Amino acid sequence: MDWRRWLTTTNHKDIGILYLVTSLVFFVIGGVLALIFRTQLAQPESTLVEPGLYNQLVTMHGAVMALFFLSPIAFGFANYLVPLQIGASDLAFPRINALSYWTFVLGGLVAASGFALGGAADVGWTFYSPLTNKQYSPGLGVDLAGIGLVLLTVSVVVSTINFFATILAHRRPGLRLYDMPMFTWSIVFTIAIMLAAFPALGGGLLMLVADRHFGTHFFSAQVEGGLVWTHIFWFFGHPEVYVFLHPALGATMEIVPAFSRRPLYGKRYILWSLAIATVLSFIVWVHHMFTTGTDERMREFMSLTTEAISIPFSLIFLCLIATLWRGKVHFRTPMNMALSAMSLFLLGGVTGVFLSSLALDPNFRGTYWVVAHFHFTLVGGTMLMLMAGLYYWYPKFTGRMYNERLGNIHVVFSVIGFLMTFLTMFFISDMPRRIYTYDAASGWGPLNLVVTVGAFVFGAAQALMLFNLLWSLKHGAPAPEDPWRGPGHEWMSSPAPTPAPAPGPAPIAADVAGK
Amino acid sequence: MGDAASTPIVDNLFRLYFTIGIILTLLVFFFLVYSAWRFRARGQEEPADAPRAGEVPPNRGHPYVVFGTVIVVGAILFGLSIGTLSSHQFLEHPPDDVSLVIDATGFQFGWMFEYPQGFQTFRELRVPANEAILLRITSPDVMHKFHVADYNIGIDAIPGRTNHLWFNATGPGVAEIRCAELCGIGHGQMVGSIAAIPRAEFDAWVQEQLATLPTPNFVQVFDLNVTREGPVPGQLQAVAGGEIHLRLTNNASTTLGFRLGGPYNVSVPSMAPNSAAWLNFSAPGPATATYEATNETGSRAGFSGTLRVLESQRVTVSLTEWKVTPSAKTVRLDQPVLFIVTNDGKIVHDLNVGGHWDADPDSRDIHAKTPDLAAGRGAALAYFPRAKGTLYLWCNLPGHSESGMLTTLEVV
Ligand SMILES: [Cu+2]
Ligand SMILES: [Cu+2]
Ligand SMILES: [Cu+2]
Repeated sequence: MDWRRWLTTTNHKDIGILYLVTSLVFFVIGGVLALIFRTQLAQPESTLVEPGLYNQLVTMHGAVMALFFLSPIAFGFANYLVPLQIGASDLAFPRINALSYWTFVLGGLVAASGFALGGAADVGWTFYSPLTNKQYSPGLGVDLAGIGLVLLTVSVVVSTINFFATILAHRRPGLRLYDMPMFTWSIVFTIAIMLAAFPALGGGLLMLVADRHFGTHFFSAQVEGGLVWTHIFWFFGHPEVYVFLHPALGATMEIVPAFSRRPLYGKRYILWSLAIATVLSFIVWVHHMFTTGTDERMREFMSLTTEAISIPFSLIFLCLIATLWRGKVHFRTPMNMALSAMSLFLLGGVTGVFLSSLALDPNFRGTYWVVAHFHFTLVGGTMLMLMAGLYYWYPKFTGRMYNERLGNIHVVFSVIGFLMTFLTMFFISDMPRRIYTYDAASGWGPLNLVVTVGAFVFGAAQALMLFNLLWSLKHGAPAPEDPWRGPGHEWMSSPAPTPAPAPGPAPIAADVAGK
Repeated sequence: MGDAASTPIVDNLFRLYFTIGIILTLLVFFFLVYSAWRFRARGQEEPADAPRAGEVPPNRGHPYVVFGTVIVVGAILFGLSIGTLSSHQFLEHPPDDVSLVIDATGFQFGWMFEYPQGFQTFRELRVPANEAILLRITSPDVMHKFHVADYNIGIDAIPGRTNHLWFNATGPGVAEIRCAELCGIGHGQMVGSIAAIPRAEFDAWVQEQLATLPTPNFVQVFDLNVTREGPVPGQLQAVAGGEIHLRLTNNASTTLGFRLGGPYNVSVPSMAPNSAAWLNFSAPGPATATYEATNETGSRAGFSGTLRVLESQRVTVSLTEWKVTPSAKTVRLDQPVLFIVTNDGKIVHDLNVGGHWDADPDSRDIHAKTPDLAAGRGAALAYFPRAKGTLYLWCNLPGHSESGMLTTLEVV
């Protein structure tokens, strides 16, 4: 294949593959950063990494994993699958789609370039002000990360509009919205959140960069700027976790019916749950700010809304389990991974209820308890569900089968490594996060060693998955057209491998006219 | 380990969440595993409504299952919320009988506690046990979080804003204070301690703090045991440029006096046996004076010695964010240097004088240092240069010298 095709393509399948591959590259980068600082923390009073570099590592680990891996990988799946699932020939605006992708790549490169330009951002991926002010962070790192994320915001907002246009206007005739496959539905809720939340991030970062370079005072102490920033950031930041979760749930809702051979239980109620969770996700952000002393009524209200948001997710969870009933459950890699991820997500969700408590959170905020909780939801739950999706759609993407045995080894060691890493963290809940070392007298040493060993087991398992996916490209058995007898329309729409691209960019006008 | 009134309340609430959480997690987990295993595929036959590619799957689901779930989960969460809100009321609102209000400041990188009596402590908070204490917390630089895991309490220190946190330490004990909000490279070193002590001990400690407030006045204190006989003349050496305080103790069995000759010409006419007296005077310039014990008649009693006051080089040093500014660039080797240090910045600093500064705090060679100085405070430091060459002056608070609070003097 001509490599130039990948630079100029506007085909949704190609761009989907590009998104997937690029976000997996960011995943590897973010993972290596984590392994470096986990090595530093394995022993008390370690001097492998100095504090300045340590802060860069944790900051970029968070930013890369959350914003350049978990967010865009959903666009990878969505680019490839949404048009197939709804019978569109491509996205509504294919060239704008390519623009979104390249803007995202540029944003990621700019954000990460700090490592080469004298120091990446070292202020935490939450960019808390006034630590981000020029006075306290004079280096280029914060500017580069800020600009990188503004570019990402542009890319995301443009994409959401593209997807809305596609889903609303380019469905195959006769396909009612309600009848759309669940993955596409999950993308509807994802882009709804993105469209409302990302501008807060982009706007906040523009103000931050203006404060740093143009003498504005959006976040100065006179206006309690630190508090203002937390409101802006978490107005984006909380809904953002559902941006990660929704597509992962969408993939799970394709996989569980396919491998249990029964239709999804309670689709109507699941859709209502997703809609309610999407709305609620915008009125819970203060649960990240219980210790800021912001208005007490607001804290109490958002403590209650946060507890309430577990109701729709409990329902979705139960519907997924009920789908198995009277089915014929086939334990293949995607299913095994999805069921494992659901089990891990369960604990993430339950520990989230603890953090919703206005009385318990002040003792957890900023400690390893929180780190453990959100890795259960975002890694054990969300990320592994997306990995299940990678296996599930791999035959579709490549025309080959992955290696089943390696896949299952990946599942087992992901779970073992994950639990060693993150279950252990609940037991060092008095240790503050983001400290680069700790005294031997603190007693945190042995458990930190377990965490680090677990992180390497988990990392090795992910490397095995990447190996499996790469190796199978050449050596995998040729995939049948519909290997899983899956419920989605994508399995019948066209032969598995990407067809040769049409010459030149896709004809936009004809596309619209065709509907 | 310490404890506070908030500890059992939060612990009980945690236990409630934990019990319900673990039961629900296990129930749902076993339901998931059971469902998957019970309905595992055996043989090839398919359910009648098995999904087919390209087909819209038929609807499944029973409203009573769905609404039952919503009601059960909702009821559980409602119960937990009641527990949360009532515990929150206790934690959020200080009682009426607060006995001590302390202004706490989280700064890059440490904690300062300002007592209403007018003194400060650094990193170490001491409070009377079994009394309600209110902290008013803020920060002059970036956001920090004051966290005492043993007490189950925490709140943010935010620039431009004052947050309130109250606690009642039940019984004596020491607990650790940590910063739990990333605040820069010294974040991991923002460790402090909170000691709850009995009221009487606390009052005595307050008096002691008030007596030892650091000031930029240069005061040298010498202890002298005055005796009747003194076969070998004594030698005292002091540095000019401040005050000299002699604490005299009469160790003899009879009444004695004490006299210090010119240029000071000060004396204590009589001290009872085993009593003490202070003799304070200022020593602006170099001098040599003799002193001696005297009898009740004023005649010499036998004990004597010499006080040599050495000429000093006075260097004022101003500490600000983020600079150390001395008034001179060079000092001479042959005279002691008198550093008059003032903290003109907004946060805590100290001044260290040494022969070598290193990026690694443990490898720094410190010859002399002031105590931690709150904003507006000062201290004097007499220092004898050891060799020609470069002398380093820096603030040793974590991260401060890296931010610019480091300068040099040449010893010539
Ligand atoms: Cu949140
Ligand atoms: Cu800190
Ligand atoms: Cu300093």
